[in-house]
Amino acid sequence: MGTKKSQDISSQMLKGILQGCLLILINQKPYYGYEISQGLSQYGFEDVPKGTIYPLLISMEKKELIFSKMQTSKEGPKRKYYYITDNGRQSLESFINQWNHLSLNVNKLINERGQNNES
Amino acid sequence: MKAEQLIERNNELREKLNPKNKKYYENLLLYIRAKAVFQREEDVETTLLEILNDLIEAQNNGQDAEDYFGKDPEQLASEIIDNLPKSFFDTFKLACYIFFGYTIFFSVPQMINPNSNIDLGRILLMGISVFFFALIILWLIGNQAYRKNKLVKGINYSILFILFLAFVIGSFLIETPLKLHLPGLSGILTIIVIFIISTVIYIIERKNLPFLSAVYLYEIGFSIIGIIIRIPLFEKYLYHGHSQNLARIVLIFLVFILIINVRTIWKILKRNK
Repeated sequence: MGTKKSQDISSQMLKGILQGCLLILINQKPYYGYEISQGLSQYGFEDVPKGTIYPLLISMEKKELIFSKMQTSKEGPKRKYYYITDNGRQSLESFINQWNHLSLNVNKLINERGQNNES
Repeated sequence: MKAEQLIERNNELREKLNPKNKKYYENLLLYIRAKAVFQREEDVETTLLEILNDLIEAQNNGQDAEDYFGKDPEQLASEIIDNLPKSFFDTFKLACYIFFGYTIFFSVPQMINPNSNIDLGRILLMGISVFFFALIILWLIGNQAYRKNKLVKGINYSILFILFLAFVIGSFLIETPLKLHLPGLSGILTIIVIFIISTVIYIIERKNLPFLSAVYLYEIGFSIIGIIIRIPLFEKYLYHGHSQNLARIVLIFLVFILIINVRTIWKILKRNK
């Protein structure tokens, strides 16, 4: 049970972080599914199974953070492209703030206390 | 794009996957289609096509479906279904179709004989349970996609078979006091009302459901016989004392329907292969 619960928490955390990353990508230009997965891999998320982005995209669309349009892609076939909404931009901004705050605190903690344990 | 076009596109594109990836994707497809009964078909098909397009692109870049999408597709498929918006209207539509389908198929032939009673209570009860029966079938089919254990598969199929048997037996045994006797004009009017409803359904949905033409023809035939028999002039020749003639008409008609059905089934198979 304990491991299951901690897994749930880490998967919840990962989903929140992934959602933020997706918003960062889609904020730059419209993306379709595979391009997003490529983008993630490029920034070191190779180990994340890319299947996870599909339920996430659907839920983000439902929350109106993004919207989608069918468009012809460079390769030819029509693809589902995702665009950011105003809601999405707001959510992105608060994600970046939260993340900066969190990472600052965690890094500070690691730098000041974490190294003491090692030595 | 409408659901039907999306499905057609999916059938074409699926051929681009290599055998291993195709197997992986088709399990996912089966699972999602069977389990997403409360979601809008168009949303479901859009997502399925999106994933297929991405898997093909991954394959072209030398990535396996499993490496790309993940080792636990069942979990991801469930998450996809949970996140798709539920559509009360689409579920209700599905229930209505199943209900009317059942009613047309089982009650209209009963109406041929002007002297028989129509058990309205049974039609209502069975029509509703046929909807739940369909849901259980879909759920079991969806479950098969990710079951490797033969025993579990066998149990699933047995449950399906027992349910089907119980359902068929039930449809003969159940009797309710809510019976209708529809001779003459009242019978003709009832047949016409059912006929109009099914014509509307047929016109709207004939492109989505290829087998509907067969059901509709069946309905036309039985409606015509049911009406003719209730007209006093014909009643004398067709029914009173001439039950053999009636039996012959029904038989010829049933053979005709069977031929039409075989053709439709053949057409459906051809489109998929």
